[in-house]
Amino acid sequence: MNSILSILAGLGGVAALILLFLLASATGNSSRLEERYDLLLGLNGVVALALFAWVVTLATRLLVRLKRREFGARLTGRFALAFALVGVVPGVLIYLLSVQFLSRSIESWFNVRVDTALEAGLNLGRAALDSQLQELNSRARAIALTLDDPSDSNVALTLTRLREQTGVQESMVFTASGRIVAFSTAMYGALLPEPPPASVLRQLRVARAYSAAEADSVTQAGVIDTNPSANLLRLRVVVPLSQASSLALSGGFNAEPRYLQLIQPVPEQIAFNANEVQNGYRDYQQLTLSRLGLRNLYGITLTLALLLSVFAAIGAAFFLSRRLVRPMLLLAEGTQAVGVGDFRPIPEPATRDEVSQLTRSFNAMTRQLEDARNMVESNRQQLERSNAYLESILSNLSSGVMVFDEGFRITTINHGAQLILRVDMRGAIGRTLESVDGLGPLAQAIHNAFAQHEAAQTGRSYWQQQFEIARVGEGISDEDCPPQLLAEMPHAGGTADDHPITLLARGSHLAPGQGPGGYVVVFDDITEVISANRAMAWGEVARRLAHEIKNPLTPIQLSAERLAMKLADKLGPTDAAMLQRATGTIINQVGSMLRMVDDFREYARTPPAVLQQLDLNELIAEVLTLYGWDPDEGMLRQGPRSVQLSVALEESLPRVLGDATQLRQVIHNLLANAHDAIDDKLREQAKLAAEAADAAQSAELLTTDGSANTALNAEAENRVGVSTRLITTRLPDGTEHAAVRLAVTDTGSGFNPRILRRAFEPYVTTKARGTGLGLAIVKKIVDEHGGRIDLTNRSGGGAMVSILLTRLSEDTRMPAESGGQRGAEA
Amino acid sequence: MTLRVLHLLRWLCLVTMLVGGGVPYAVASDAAVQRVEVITEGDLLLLDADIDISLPTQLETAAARGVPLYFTADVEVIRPRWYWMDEELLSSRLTWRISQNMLTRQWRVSTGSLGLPVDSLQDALAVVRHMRRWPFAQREELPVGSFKGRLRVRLDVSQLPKSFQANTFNSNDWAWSTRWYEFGISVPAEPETKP
Repeated sequence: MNSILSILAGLGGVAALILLFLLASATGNSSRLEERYDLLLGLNGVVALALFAWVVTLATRLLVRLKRREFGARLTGRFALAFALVGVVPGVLIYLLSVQFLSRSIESWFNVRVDTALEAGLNLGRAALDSQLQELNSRARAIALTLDDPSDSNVALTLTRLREQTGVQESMVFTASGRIVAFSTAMYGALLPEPPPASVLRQLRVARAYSAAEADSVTQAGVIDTNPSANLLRLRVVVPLSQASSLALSGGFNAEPRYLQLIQPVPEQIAFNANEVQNGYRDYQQLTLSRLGLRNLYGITLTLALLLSVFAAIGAAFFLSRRLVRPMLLLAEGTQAVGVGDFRPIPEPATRDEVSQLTRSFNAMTRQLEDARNMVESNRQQLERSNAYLESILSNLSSGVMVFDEGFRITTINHGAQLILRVDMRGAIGRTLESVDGLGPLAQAIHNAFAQHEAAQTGRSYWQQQFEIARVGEGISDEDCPPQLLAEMPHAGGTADDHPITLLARGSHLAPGQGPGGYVVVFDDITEVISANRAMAWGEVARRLAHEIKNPLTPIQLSAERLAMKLADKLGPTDAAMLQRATGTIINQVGSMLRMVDDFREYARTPPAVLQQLDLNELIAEVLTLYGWDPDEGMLRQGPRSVQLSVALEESLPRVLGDATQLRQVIHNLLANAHDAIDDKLREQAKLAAEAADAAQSAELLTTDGSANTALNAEAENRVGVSTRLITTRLPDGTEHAAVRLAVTDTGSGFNPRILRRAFEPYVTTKARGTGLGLAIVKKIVDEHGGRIDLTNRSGGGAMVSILLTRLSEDTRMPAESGGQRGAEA
Repeated sequence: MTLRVLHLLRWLCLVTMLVGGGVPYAVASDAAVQRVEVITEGDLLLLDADIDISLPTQLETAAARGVPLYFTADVEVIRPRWYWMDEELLSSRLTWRISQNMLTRQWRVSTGSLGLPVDSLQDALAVVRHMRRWPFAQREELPVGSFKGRLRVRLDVSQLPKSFQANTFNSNDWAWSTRWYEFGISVPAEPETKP
């Protein structure tokens, strides 16, 4: 499309050039194209108009682009202007010079001297003719004088003789009416005489003589003979003959006047020169008269040429500037594209000039830029990945990590820290730790620790301290905690606990060498560790105490019995009774002390668990039977009030590795605890109900609590749940991990939050009678089995103890089925 | 300089006029066709016309200096058409050349191959003024019926050197012409027999 257009434009240009050339050559006077001058003028005008239209279109387009502030328009405009100036200015200059020169030179052709010279030449010619005429006239008069012979024949003879004597070409005698009387000629071809033309006769009638030079030969009919051979310059003289001869000739009185006519051709040399002068004079006059027109002619041609070349120059300027600017625009667009991150290479022009070189280097640059950016990008991604990795490690770390800047403002705090402190600190970034509610003591402790570390100058890079801080109780209620956090808090049970926790914290000062300085504190909740330590210490104490106390107890008991036996007969009845009472007291107390010591020994004793395959369901069923469990009714018959039992034992439970005796004790302890919890609650409720009956006010208060209402239908709700489940977790590495969970639930009042933490420590109990060793023993056994035990307060009230046994026998499937059958039988 | 610019402007105007459409013929106010009569004679259509001619001084001067003047009579027979441009049935022209021999001071009028010596310019113009029996058309060239004819006489510059043609741009005298004179023309069915 474009190539066709350019070919058309080229053809048009060539045609315009040819037209212009033709016009210029048509301006010359002696050209064949002269007749087509108008047509050529019009065609050139049309071409000029077309060019003008083209230029106007281009200029308008450029103006529109300039107005729109289109990119590159100004450069194009500047280029176009420069090119147009380069094209137009010389053209206009030459044009003005030419016009000036033209008019000057044309004016200079016509000066007075040439005019007068030509005039003089013409006059000279005329004078020559006049003198010839005069001479001819005198000859005519001489002939006329001798023509006095009256006879007609004589006239003819005389005329011929006289003509030959005078050397005149043609002589004739005729009457006034035009009748030829005598004729004589030197030309042999023209035998027929030519009568005088009417104009001559007319003049003769007036002036009686005629003398003139004639350029044309005129026929009898009065029209000019256009036969070119006859059209010579000649002299005609007519003189009247004397009246006498006329009379004689006519032979009458009333005779017509006669005339003698002599015709003599002008000598060839004179005629030719005179003609030349005349032609020159005529041409000169024509030129003089039309010099304005001539000037116009050249002027129009020049103007057209100027317009054509100017418009062509402007058009070419536009065209060239567009062509020149286009690669630059491409480059500019390329830079803009690079600016917004588009690194695609721009098309390289096919030419091998500087612009294409520039384009190539630009493309090379964008390639390098792209490579660099890709590298930066990949580095960044790698960094991000490692950051994210670190981040995830940090957030999944159970230890709390807090990072402060030099001003002790929090910069980083991980998820573990928030879990341990039970504070949502996502909004605390950038604030100091003191400003977070409830963390004032911790902040103070950390400050102190850092200060002491600085002061001590031990040379160690970190400090380590153990803090005991009160966990935020009232400050952060459950509603304030984000749900996600709540869900992950295993001990979050309807009530807030504010008992102190023990933190083991390490802190170090980040030297401001690399990156910003600051402080890092890593802490762990070691409450449970301490609890375990305490349990171990208690075990040791118990073992020693049992050992030390048990030895003297037996002699004491034996001695008391002996005293009672020996002295009973020797004393009076009153004394004997007192002795009986005293020794009874000693024996009883020693017995209970022995029991207590046995318990301690039991706790402290660490007999290695003998692990063997056993069916947990069977074990549970066995223990439940001891508790009077009826599989049909699901009730515990023991105790004053019957408690409902709901047992959900999963069939096909794999066999676990465990010590049957120890596990039996575990189940027994848990069931006993659950049962006791329900008993306690019932007793409490009964007491409350009785009080409610006494005092209506307090009853009302309790009604708001909802306890009074629940007491009425407590019978149906008192329930101990025992369930087993197989739990399979799939680890990310693909291996399956199976575990068996035993859960015992009750509908009692649940654990006191204060107790919950330390429930597994010996001597921690809520019961009125109890050693506080039950759960401690359970915990110990479970630990020995490599299991896990968790205490939770259920959301609906009551507690749940769940034990996870992870050591399962290798052949999981087979015994599970038999266990399931047994479960069904039970 | 201003004069130059003015000249340039004038030339520009002239060029646009040229491009716009042909050479404009100025119409002299004192030249007009006064009477036209068409005579049918045998196979010929003859035209008699009287034209009032008074030459501008510039033309008279030119003639007196030996420049030949060409006068052309154009006659056209047209049939009007309402739906399109008028149909031109016939167009014919007659050209006279009036010139003076500067050497012999003789005038002549010539048309075609026919030359006529006359005594003066006025005598020569008289030939143009009174056109008699111009056989402008053959009978068979025109269909039978009544048509519209028109006649004008103009100075024919195209016969002169080109510089005179350019002269017409800046002088009305050189664009001398009469207006078109319209007349009716009826072509009879059969040639009339002359008595």
